[in-house]
Amino acid sequence: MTQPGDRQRRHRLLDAALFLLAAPLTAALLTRLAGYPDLGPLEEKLFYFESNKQVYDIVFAGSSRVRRGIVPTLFDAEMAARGFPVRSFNLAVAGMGPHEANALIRRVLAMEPARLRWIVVELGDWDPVVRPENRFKRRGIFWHDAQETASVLRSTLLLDEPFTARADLLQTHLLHFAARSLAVGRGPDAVRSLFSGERAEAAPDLARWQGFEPYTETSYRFNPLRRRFLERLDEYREAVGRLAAGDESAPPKPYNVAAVRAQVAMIRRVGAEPVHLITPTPRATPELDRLARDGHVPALLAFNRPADYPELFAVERRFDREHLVQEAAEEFTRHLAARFAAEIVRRDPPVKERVARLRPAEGGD
Amino acid sequence: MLFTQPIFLFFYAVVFAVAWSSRDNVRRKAALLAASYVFYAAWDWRFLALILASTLVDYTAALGMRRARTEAARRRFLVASLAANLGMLGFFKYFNFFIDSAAAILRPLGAELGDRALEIVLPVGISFFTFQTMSYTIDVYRKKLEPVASLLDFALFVGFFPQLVAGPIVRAARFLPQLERSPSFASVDARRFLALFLTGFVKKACIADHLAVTVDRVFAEPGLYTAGSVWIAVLLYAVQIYCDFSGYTDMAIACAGLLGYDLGPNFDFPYLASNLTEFWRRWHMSLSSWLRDYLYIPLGGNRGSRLFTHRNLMLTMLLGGLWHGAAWTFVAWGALHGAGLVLHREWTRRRAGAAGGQAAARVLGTGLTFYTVCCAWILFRAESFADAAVLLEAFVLLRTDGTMALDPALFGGFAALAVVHWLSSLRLGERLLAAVPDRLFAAGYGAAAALALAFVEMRAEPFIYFQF
Repeated sequence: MTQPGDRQRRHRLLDAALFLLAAPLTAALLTRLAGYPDLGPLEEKLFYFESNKQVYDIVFAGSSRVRRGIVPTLFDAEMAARGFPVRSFNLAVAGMGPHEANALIRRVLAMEPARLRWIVVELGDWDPVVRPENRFKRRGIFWHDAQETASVLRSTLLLDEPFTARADLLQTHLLHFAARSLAVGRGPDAVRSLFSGERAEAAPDLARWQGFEPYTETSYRFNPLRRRFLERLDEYREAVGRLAAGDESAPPKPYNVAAVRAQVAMIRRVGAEPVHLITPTPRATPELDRLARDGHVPALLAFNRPADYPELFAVERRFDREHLVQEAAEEFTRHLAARFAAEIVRRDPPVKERVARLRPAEGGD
Repeated sequence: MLFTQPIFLFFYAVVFAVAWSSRDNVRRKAALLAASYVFYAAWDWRFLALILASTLVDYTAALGMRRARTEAARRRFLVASLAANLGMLGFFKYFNFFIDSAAAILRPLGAELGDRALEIVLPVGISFFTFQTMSYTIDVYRKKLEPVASLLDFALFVGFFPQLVAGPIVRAARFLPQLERSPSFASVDARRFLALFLTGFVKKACIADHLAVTVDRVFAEPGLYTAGSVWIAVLLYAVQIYCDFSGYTDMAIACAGLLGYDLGPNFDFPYLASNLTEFWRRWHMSLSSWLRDYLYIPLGGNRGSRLFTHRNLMLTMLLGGLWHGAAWTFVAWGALHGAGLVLHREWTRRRAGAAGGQAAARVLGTGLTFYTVCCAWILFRAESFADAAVLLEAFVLLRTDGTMALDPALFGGFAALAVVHWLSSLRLGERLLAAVPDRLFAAGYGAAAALALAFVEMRAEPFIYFQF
């Protein structure tokens, strides 16, 4: 015979199960309803890319150094002049680190863009640290999909930091993942999608520049990073001098090896090729260079070489310490196209024919 | 550790499991005390010493009063306790305020105090737990309460985590008897407390934090905005502070309730009050009743001339204002409320026996009371008197040079929240909740929790009352 206590316990368990079922189901429904979260420029770019995804052979992903540094229309013209008619799009946005870029690439690949052959992604340290001001920001939450969370948790475990710091990071990333899974903060998106339906038109500049974003006059007048750069030019010149003189080497960090190998495998799994990129930044990257030398990164195009590209490091060609002015960005794009054609496309002989065969007519925007 | 943070849910789940699995009441209370100290240490472990000191001083003072043979000796214990508590509060909360104020007064007289301000960090919740312990020793002194023999019980009364950092200010007479017996989960109205926790969460994370974004913008640069926008910002601040503080209180009461303890009410739909006296019976009830019992009545209350009563009202509200923060804007806020209470008292006296349309008078009174409370909130929230003057000029006289405008749809949002406030006061939801079968409640609670999470403001704000 069932005791009243047992029955009560069973009822409580059933209640708990119903609660635990209803919460994620509602969250899943909200996520579905909400669609893309409101991620500002990244959302616009993703939406534009998805609408024109069958057109592109190459995408660029990374931080503002890529966003402000690579001009896809110019890159395409330079490639065409070398006999490789390709179409490229710049998906980079400000502050995008390797984990976020990786999650973005995963989304791009899931869209099944038929022509996509190369993914050019900025190579950086897959450091799992989240700066306090970036915690629980929409973009930070959004890139914590299951695979990327697993990857960043692995990076955290491999980090050479005290246990408490790693525990704090583990908790932070798990909470970001939980926030994403439980649709935290997605209510307004769901309401918007329910009542307005149509997504806003992409900014006209996206079609014109294909994701490249030149600095505006306002940026020149008010940008604090530019002001700081101009105030500390000596520091910049010193950094460039050190970079030109230095020939350091450093062993790759275990978490970088694991993450970059997983990224390469993910991109290759769909028949595309990863190309890693280091923009013309005044910073030595011995550990990242070593990743390429050890074969973890199959193709690395590094431009942090003042000796090879002195014009990209001249003070008047810089907007600030990390970014190029538009003319220098065009110069950098030309160098990139030249090296891309020479080191990447030519290394892959069937590509030339494939590119030519697959481009009977222009499409897209 | 905020009630709205995931880490708190984890902490609470562990405390809940440990508390209800303890068969022995002493162990249960010891576990709750340990958890409370962990909760407080999560803010700043150094201030645990303050709670311990406050606990030991008042525990010893109360026992001393019982053992004292003369009234003078009893009074000495009371004075020692009050001096220790007020000294602690005065140093941590008001030292710099008094130094700065003295410097400002002496400067025109030619005396320079120099820079004597100290870098003092305000221990979170100090105003709450010192008032709580002071009420205990005063009640023991007045022989309204027997001193508690168990240090564990007293320490838990002072440090119980749900109400430790922002109230309600629980009286010993309410809380200590609850610790004597082991609570039974069967007698806990779990459904009511779960609903109360979620309500508090929604008020804080989904309403107050969202409104803070707009309110902060206007209060940071009030001169830039049109009078209409200042109106919207002030109305939204009234909603924000209510949802923030009553949301915290709801969660505190629910957390304590689910552990089997009753903290008592702290809010009763204050914006539906039809006069300021009623407002203070409905807003932060544990503080207003504390001020009444331990300040207003000892000052003489209304046992004297009209002028004497008005003086007591003003003094109580001025000190009540100062309790909220070490700034003259808070004192001015208290003064405005004090003046409002005096005016209402006089109005009531002169209108005694006068007939009138009760319903219309109540609606008019509610509107006027809310408007007065909003004017006072400007002083409460403004960064300085200069900002407050700009805001009051726009809010009262509709005069401003500002040109920036908020979206007028925000006023619609305020109106919708006002209707929800009124509907909630009818307690329809509570009746509905009681009628829902268990299974439906469980599934509905899961869906409601997910919906609440979907509407939280990602930029989580600390609770406003933590600074007090």
